[in-house]
Amino acid sequence: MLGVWLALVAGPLWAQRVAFINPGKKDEAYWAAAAQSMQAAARSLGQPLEVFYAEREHLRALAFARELVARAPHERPDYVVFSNDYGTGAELLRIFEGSGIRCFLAFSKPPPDGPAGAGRPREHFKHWVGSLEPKAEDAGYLTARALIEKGRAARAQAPDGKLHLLAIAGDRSTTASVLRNEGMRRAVREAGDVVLVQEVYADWSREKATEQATWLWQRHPQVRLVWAGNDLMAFGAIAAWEQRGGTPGKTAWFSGINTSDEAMAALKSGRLAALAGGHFITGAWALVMIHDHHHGHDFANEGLAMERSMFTLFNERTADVFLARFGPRAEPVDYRRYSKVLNPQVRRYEFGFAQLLR
Amino acid sequence: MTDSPLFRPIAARLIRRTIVLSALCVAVVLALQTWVLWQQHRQRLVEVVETVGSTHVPLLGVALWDIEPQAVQLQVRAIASWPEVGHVRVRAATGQVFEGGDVSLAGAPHSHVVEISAPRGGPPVGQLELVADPAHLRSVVGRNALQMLMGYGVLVSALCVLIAVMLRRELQTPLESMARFAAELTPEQLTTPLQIARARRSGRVDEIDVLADGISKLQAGLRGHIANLDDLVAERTEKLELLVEEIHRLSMTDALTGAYNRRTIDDRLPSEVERAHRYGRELSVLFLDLDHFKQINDSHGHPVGDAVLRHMVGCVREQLRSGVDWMARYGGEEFLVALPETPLASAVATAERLRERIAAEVMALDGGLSLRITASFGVTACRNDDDSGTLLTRADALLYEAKLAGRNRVASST
Repeated sequence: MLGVWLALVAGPLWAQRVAFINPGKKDEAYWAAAAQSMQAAARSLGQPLEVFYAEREHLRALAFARELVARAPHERPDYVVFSNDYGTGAELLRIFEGSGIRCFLAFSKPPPDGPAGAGRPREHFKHWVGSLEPKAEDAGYLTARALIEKGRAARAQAPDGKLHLLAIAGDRSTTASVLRNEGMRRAVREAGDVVLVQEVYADWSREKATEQATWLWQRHPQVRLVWAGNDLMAFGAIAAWEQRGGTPGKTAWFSGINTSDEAMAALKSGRLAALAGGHFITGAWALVMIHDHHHGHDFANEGLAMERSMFTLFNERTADVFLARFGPRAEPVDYRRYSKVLNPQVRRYEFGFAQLLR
Repeated sequence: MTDSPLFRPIAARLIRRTIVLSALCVAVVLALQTWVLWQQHRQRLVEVVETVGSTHVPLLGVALWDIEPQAVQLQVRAIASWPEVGHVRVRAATGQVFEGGDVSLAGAPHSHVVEISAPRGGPPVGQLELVADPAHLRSVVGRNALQMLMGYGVLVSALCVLIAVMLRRELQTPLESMARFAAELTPEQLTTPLQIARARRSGRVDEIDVLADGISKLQAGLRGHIANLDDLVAERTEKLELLVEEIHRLSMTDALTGAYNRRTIDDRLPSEVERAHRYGRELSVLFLDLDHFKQINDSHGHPVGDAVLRHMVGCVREQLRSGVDWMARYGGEEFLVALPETPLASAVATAERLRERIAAEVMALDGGLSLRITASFGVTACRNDDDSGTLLTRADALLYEAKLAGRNRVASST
């Protein structure tokens, strides 16, 4: 019955069926936001979208892929969107090979080019049409720069006249983590009056960040700036600072990355000095590209493996806008405006998040 | 030997002493080994500390610097898994404490402390405290002791069995048979050689052989000694018999003349008379008295008188039948001659012959003198109613007749 409906509604020329293998959990802020924005885009573009949550178990992602391939040909989606989290990208590409399902890698860096990897899109794997990833370095750079500026403004320099900064990074291996750290370091280099005292890895965990921050302040008591690779670790560091009797935003300053409600609230209250986010929108942008690709407007002229700036630095105003657009009572975003097929005047995809907050 | 309640085989004593000695050896060796193991354990602990210092401590330094409590805990557990290590404690410079191993050892004085430096230099990020595990040392020593005790046990048991078997075969059995042989030995068996069943040996001699040889020599010595005693007894007996014979002879003989004495007449004549009566045989006696013997004594001295007496007895003896006739000094110069198996006529003839023989003799004296002597004879034969007394009385009376009749003559009567 559904198949019949799909066949009628999603005709080959004007609509395409898409599946999204979400590596995260349903209740995970980032991945929930990603799925929600994709649902919104799919509705807006008239694409039926199926979402599968792998719940952070990479074997489950592979199982979903096999399940899709095992379907009858007319029940298979036309496109599947997945990420390279946990390095499953190449294996997923192999599973979908020959099934007629086109693959689009989003959110994270695609598998490395080389003998062990998957080559480049449309080379070895012809059904791999392209990839889109947020420029992760931006997130680190933007938040670190804003944090340093706050520090300068508050004259939080140590006796040596320098701003002392601690970095609580996510992990050592994920590309996004490494790139965020690089962005943070670039901002420190550019600033010139900042000392990166130490970098630690809290595995994206609030609790571990709390513990590490506790140690770090015992080790480096003069530090006043704490950069974190995500919002949770920033909250962990804030908790440690509060345990020491400090006041975040007054005696020490913290930065985070992500667009969780708590992060937005903290930004507004001043507990967070800097916050960047918006990269959850990658999936929605991927659907726009798939829509255009399906309707004969290939994105190949812009590049098959795209890395684009998507992060935006939030302030009190944009935080409110964000909550209005993407919060519980969000008004739907019209993604049709960004389609080249539907808007012939669009020459180049603009994927920045800031435009959604205007 | 075996019936004594205190009997205890040498083998048992030897085995007991072997066991005691082995136990002492075990104790000494065990003590030494324990000491060595203790030293080794201490050395090993130093090595472990060095190894930990070169392997775990850098990782601990990184984990502490990077603030990875899980990684620190993993390292602590890894260090605690060394069997020599009892308790591990990592004190971060920032105050945090990680512990592993046996918590009950936590209070013990920490034997080794290692500074944990930061990976990129700077002040130490923490301190590693290691406590040795006494249980490990105990178990090593215990295991060792057990192994050694088992080894010694087997060795000592084998030795004891060997001692028992060898002593039984080489000592107990031969000694027992020798003891039995000695106990059952009698003078008659002195010539029986000692025989012991022994295992074949290569022609060499041992203590048992020496002992057996000693017993054989003892047997030979005893045998010789007993034989010698027999000879001695025979010799002494012979001498005694001769002595007794001599005494007997002396008791019967007159010291001066060598003829029988008066006691012999009293002893012997009655039995001659009785025999003559019992068997109806002839018996004659004659009394002989030197004529004028007192004058000879008076004029020539007693020594001449004695020599005359001895000479006369020698003359008479020549004429008598040896072993049948006998002669005794009756007293003074008067002699009795018994003539068994002799009728009166023959006796008278003998007396005549004796008278003539004495009268014919000329005795040479000192100073160129010579002496002629004569003798008077009373001869009679034993009658059926005679006893020795009546016979002698009659013979004496006849002698008196012959004296009265002028001397140097024979008077006879039945």
